[in-house]
Amino acid sequence: MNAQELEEKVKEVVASVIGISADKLPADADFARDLDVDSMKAIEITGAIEKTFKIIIPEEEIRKIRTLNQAITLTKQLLNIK
Amino acid sequence: MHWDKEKIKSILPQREPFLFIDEVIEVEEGKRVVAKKYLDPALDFFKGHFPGNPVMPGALIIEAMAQTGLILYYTTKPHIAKTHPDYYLTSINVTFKSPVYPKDTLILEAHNFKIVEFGGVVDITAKVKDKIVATSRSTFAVVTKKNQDAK
Repeated sequence: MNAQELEEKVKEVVASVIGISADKLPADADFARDLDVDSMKAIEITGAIEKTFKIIIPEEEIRKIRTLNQAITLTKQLLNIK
Repeated sequence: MHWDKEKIKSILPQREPFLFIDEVIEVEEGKRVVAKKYLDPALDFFKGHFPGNPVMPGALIIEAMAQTGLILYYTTKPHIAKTHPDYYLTSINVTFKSPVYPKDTLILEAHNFKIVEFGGVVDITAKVKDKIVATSRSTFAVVTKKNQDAK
């Protein structure tokens, strides 16, 4: 999987959990402020990314993921994709 | 692995008549648990739901599922669960597939989708014998006494 494919897949996964179409998910929208994502939904987003990419996201990172871009960056780091 | 009701009461805050797990029969710590609940025909709710046609209310199947999820939380975060935090069911997406009757035994199997210290997402299947009667994904929040005091 290359970086672009990963970005698209993370976007698809996050949009699915939030319940919106991927094309309506801006990369820099604040999950909590702009998309009504609370801490419980953040856990579900994290779990969905973990299951999709077969990675473990450290618990302390969950509250730091506030945008799609941050979710993508963290996933890339954990998969060592640049 | 077998946990009896006394062990379950040391984990869950619920008590009769609102305790919906009799025993835990399988545990994979942090991954899955399987619990059982025998539906005694004398249970009070059968009298009114419905007179002459007793079936277990879906809301109580949800409660049994949620309690199984908390057992799974205990196996995942025992250091938090042993402080007896407050648990709040925050959302549930449930599908009921078949009615549940007196004398049935509910088999509740919870899988860890993602559990962290402050809450979790669990997938739960409820069966009677080998038949799936309900499935759910639920989320719950965990509020420790320390966090309550900080408010």
